[in-house]
Amino acid sequence: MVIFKGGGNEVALQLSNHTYGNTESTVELIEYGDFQCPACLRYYPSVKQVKEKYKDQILFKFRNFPLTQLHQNTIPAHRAAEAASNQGKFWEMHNMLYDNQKVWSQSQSPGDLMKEYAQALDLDLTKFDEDRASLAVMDVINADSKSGTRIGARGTPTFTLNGKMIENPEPTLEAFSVVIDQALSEQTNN
Amino acid sequence: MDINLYIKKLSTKYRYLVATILIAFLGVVLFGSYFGYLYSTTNGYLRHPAIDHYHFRTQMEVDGVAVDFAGSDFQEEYDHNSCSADLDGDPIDFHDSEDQMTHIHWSGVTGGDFLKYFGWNLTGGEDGTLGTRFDQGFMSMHKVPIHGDIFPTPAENDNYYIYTGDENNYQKRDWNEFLNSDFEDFFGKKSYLNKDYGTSFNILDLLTAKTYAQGTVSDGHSTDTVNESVEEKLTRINNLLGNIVIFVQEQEPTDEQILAKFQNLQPLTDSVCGG
Repeated sequence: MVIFKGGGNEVALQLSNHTYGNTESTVELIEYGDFQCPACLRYYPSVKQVKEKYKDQILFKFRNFPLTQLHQNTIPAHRAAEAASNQGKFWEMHNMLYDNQKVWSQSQSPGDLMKEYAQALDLDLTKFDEDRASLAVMDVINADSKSGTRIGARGTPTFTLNGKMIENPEPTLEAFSVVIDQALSEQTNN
Repeated sequence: MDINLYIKKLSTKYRYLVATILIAFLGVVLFGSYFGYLYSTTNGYLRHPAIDHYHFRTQMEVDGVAVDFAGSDFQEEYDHNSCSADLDGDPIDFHDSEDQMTHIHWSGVTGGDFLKYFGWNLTGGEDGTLGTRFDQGFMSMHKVPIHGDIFPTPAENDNYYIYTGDENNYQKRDWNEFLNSDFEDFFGKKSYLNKDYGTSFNILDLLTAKTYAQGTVSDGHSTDTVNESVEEKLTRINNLLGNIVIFVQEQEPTDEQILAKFQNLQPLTDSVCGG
């Protein structure tokens, strides 16, 4: 949950909660990503490696940050991922979307492809269709996006480490390891 | 009454007050005039720019010499590790190491601005800048610099000729229309990006900066799917608005010269910017 305040108004929004790794860890790496972003696709393999290498030590989160000004098919993809999340298969859909980015991003009807992916993941298709068309799913996507804007994200991928935006490491496990190892070291010293 | 006589009659205190008011008034008039000049010499879209991302293939020849957009003068570094919807990047650039593809990143760019960005100011306003942005606040208004003065200098008696289309069907176009039209209007084709998704009012929009996920309930199922040829699909995924061929020379180019330029356009093979 995140609270937005301003002008005498206060609104509480539910952020997404796509986590991987050690939920007890105080070291948290968040990726603000756009499923249609080619740069995010470049980072995808190394981020997968990072998640596996540090799954016992850090908490990794993914938050929606679709760049609708640049990517025509990104909203259907994010809706599909959130709908899959409602059936406990966010990461499976996340991986499916990046693995097939070139196909659905160039499609005239990406929603149909999303349904094929949902079918491949054995999701309840009726519930999937209802969820991905729902305002509730769009609210989560918008909440994630606004939280990214608030911390200064202007593109994708944007990474935060322990709540602070960091300069993107090179898309390699080694580059991420330098940053994460330092954060873990600081946690130990504290 | 003579103003000097009037001033002499005032006490010293009031003289200073009148002088201060006059100076302040002059300052406001001068600043307002300068602000008005900046505002009026800036194209509307530039005052409050919006992101877009479309392309057109470009061939240009000046006095018999082709302009090489693949050269380092024109090419920009392209960050493959980030997709940005930031307005602080270049509104116009070349970055695929070819002499073909113009990338437009702001909505509303005109042909005149395209030429001015690389050194030909044919539409007026200050040299060296496309205009002034006012979208970041009154105290943060700032000029949008051009890329550089890198187009070759035309000969004194040169004329400007512009054509759109392709090798199978091209048309001569009006040069002034090119200078003054938004590229989408000039090509008669809209970019498919930067569309208003029409969300309903949300109080959050008053509290936070505009975000990028202003989507609707669309689930991405299109009822407008059409059978596409390979060329049509590549045109769509590249958000290609068209092709332009420009000749700057004294005599009107021959059909053979024009055709040669259109035939030099490289076929599309994939999304030029990825994604």
